[in-house]
Amino acid sequence: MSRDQEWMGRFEADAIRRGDERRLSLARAIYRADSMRESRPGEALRVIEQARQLAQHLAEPWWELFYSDRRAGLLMKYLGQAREGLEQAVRNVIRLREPTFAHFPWRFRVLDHLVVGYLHTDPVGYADEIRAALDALEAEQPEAGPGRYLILARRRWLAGECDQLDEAIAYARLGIALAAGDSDRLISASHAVFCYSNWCHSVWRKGNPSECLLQLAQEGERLALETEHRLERSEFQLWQALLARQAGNESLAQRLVSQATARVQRLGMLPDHLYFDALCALHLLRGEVEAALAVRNGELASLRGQGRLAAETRCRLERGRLLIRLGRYTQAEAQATRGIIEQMRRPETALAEWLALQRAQVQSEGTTP
Amino acid sequence: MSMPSSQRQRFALHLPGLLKVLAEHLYTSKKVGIRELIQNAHDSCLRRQIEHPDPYYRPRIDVWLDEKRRVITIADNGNGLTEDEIRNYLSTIGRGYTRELRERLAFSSPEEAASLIGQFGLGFLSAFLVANEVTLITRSIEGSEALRWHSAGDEHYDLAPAERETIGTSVELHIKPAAGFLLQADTLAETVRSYADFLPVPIYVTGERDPINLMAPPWEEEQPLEAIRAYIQRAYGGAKPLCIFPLRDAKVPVGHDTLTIPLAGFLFVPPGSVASVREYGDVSIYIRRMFICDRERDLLPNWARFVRGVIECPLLQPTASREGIHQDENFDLVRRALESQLAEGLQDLAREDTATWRKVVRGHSDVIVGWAVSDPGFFEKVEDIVTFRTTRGPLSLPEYLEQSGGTLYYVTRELGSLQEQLLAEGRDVPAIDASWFSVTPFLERYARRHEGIELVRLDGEAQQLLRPVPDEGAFAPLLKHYRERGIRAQLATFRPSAAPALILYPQGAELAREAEASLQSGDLPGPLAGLVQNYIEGRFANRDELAGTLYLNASNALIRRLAERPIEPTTCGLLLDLLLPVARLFAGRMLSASEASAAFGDLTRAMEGLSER
Repeated sequence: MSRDQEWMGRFEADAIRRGDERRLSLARAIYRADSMRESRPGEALRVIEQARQLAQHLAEPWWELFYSDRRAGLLMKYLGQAREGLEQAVRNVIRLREPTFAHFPWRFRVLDHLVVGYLHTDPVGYADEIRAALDALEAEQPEAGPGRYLILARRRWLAGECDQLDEAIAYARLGIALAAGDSDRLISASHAVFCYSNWCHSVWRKGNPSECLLQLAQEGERLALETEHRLERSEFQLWQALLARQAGNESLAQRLVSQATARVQRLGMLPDHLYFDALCALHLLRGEVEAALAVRNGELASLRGQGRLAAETRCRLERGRLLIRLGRYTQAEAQATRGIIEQMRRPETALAEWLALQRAQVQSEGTTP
Repeated sequence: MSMPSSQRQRFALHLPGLLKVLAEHLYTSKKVGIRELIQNAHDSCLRRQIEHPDPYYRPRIDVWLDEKRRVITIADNGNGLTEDEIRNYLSTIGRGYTRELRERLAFSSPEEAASLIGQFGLGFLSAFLVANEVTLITRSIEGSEALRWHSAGDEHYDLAPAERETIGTSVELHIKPAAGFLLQADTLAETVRSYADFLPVPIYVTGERDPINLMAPPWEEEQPLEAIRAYIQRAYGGAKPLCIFPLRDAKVPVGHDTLTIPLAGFLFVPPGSVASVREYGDVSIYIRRMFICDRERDLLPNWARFVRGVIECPLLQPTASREGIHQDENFDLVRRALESQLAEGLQDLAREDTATWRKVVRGHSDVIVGWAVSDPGFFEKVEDIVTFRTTRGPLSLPEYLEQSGGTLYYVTRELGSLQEQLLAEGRDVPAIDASWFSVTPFLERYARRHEGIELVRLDGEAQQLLRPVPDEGAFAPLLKHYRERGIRAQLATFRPSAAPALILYPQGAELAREAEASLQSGDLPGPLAGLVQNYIEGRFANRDELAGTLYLNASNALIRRLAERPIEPTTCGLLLDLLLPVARLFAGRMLSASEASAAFGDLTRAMEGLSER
């Protein structure tokens, strides 16, 4: 049992022993919030906010900071509000210097969410700083416990964002190896799901060796089902659908796509770019450019104005490519994309892609009768 | 020796182990043992009524307590058991006579079938939750001799002839030390009542003259509303409900069809709630009049955290321990039926009894505001009634807007600083306390829905209450005095005019300040500190602004006098020096204890300087 679990368990047991209902509900609010975070993240946020204020009311600073940290995580991952989430993460890290948090068991998670905040906003712009922060975090965390998975997950995420796909795959392999030797089955399986998810995406981006992708997606789906990660399960099904479509098994592809999309529609959380990429790839395989554009439009709607510079840039560039194919790429579109790119700290790579789009646009205009 | 290709074999059963698992792990509360035996006694009485109708038969259950012998006896004058029934039902785990009787009656007499409770054939086992030994003495109505069954919870039981005059069954429980609390008469009586309050068979505890149970749910009384009110007062610690919604059978749409959900009971709104600390949204559940569980929170809609209730619905499926309910399709149907009846009841209340509706909304403001922001339909029903804490006491938004002239001024820190309240009052408007997390989104939604309503956050944006004076004119030397000292200074007019100067800070100034302190302390590992630094630099491009801006009030008599009739420069300088710490201290923000102390030092020095002149 990790230190944080020990702290929470002891607090809950004490509350039960003393018949302290308010502290018991404080300790248990997180179960309610977690059970809703995928399907009703807005309500999960409400539960967390209330719990945080209850902690304040009961003068329980550790719980107050714990729920502030969960707020940061929920905003970033489940509600897609990176800007607000990062600000919350910064506030939380600043609070750590108060003497009362000297032995705070959740300290690692609070620091981790600061890194996550940057990964959600501008990972390429701050890549060096993020790497250095991860090294520092790695030095802080104990050898055992879920922290090891988190460090690997962040490194894998950063590598993917920086287009270092082999490195991303290597981190995914490491994570899966770590999970295989872990006696805590639920935690290890849960982390393995994300490893497989990133691995599938990286394999596809590298050029899609189909047999390998199929095995990864099937194993990922099995684990996602076991651990009830519904979004990731849908992603794995989409990769399998892609391969089925490539192999000409259209009925299987359609069945998998409808299962995956129906499940995601029932979720209240926002899907990530891995999901949108897989769905677009499926449409483009059948030449359905309009359908792919509709997917990207949906993705952009969820990203706009949330401070997710990298994700919004990527989405706008992909969308621009589709619009060029459809002959509908406008200068207003181009300028909006450039406006986002210029907010990035290191815009060079994205700017080069943007310029390539501009050239492609000019060429397509030249070939248009 | 080689094994034949396929063998069909029987499972072996280790009865003591199974008894232990079922008796000790199936149930979470030992009190359930009493409930199960009361229920068996009840079903036995009903069985006698069904199988041997007799107009003179008066069913009853007696519960006796012998503290010295540590024995609780539960006796009924029901059907009794024959030797075959003891072997086939009492001593066969998983097979229950009641279930089989209900199945037989399902078509011929569904009402009688519905009144029987037993289902799983497991209940008798729960006797071993509370007892080391169980002795049952029974005489069947079928005319056989009385029998004595005895078990100590292992794989054997003894069955022998016994003495018993009357038809019926008595179960003697030799109470375990761990269940010793049941040997207190009050606890035993409360346990029996809590489970069996609505059962139709009278239950007498320790020889009391009157039965301990109501024998009918309050909603079946002749005056149901009064009975329900009395029941709530008794069962919910004297609470006087603000309103009651009796429940009725409901038609729920299911695809292209509708389904009638048999539903009885009531929902009610208690007088008040406290968000997080005392929220409700729970119901107690009865099935076939037997209590199953209380505080079930998934049956009511999420927004109904100010509602409680008691429901009776035979469609709900209890778990094997009957301490909870399966969340299956029926559960979902019942949930929908409850939501629709509650919404309808609240709508009627809002339309027909506005005074009570106001009491409901005001008594549960925080909870209601919290849920309204995530439920647009609910928001519309409450937006004009819910009250907010303001600097002039609780006000609804229409009441507030009447006073503020169409703008919502709010502070996100509890009642804001005195300075912000002063500015608001100077404009003759109260400030809304938006420290509760859901108030700001509520106000934002309200402003979006009503054209022309402006929203002003006072902490961080209080300059909206000031009127800038672009032409510094005669005030320029006063402003220069501060600017030369590196202090941002501006001229404005604001009310109350008695206030000569104020310092305002931008939103997030505290965050930047705390970040600075955190970075200087060196507590964070360097690279993580770097990320914090990057964030602060990106977020606050204009760092000077963070130190605050001093606003001189051009409508203040002293400031006007200093500008219009210049006095001796040193005295003027001392007066201006004096204003700065006053404004800083009055702002009440961005001051550590040492900085407050320094400000007092500046104040004293300036006053000393003045007194020497």
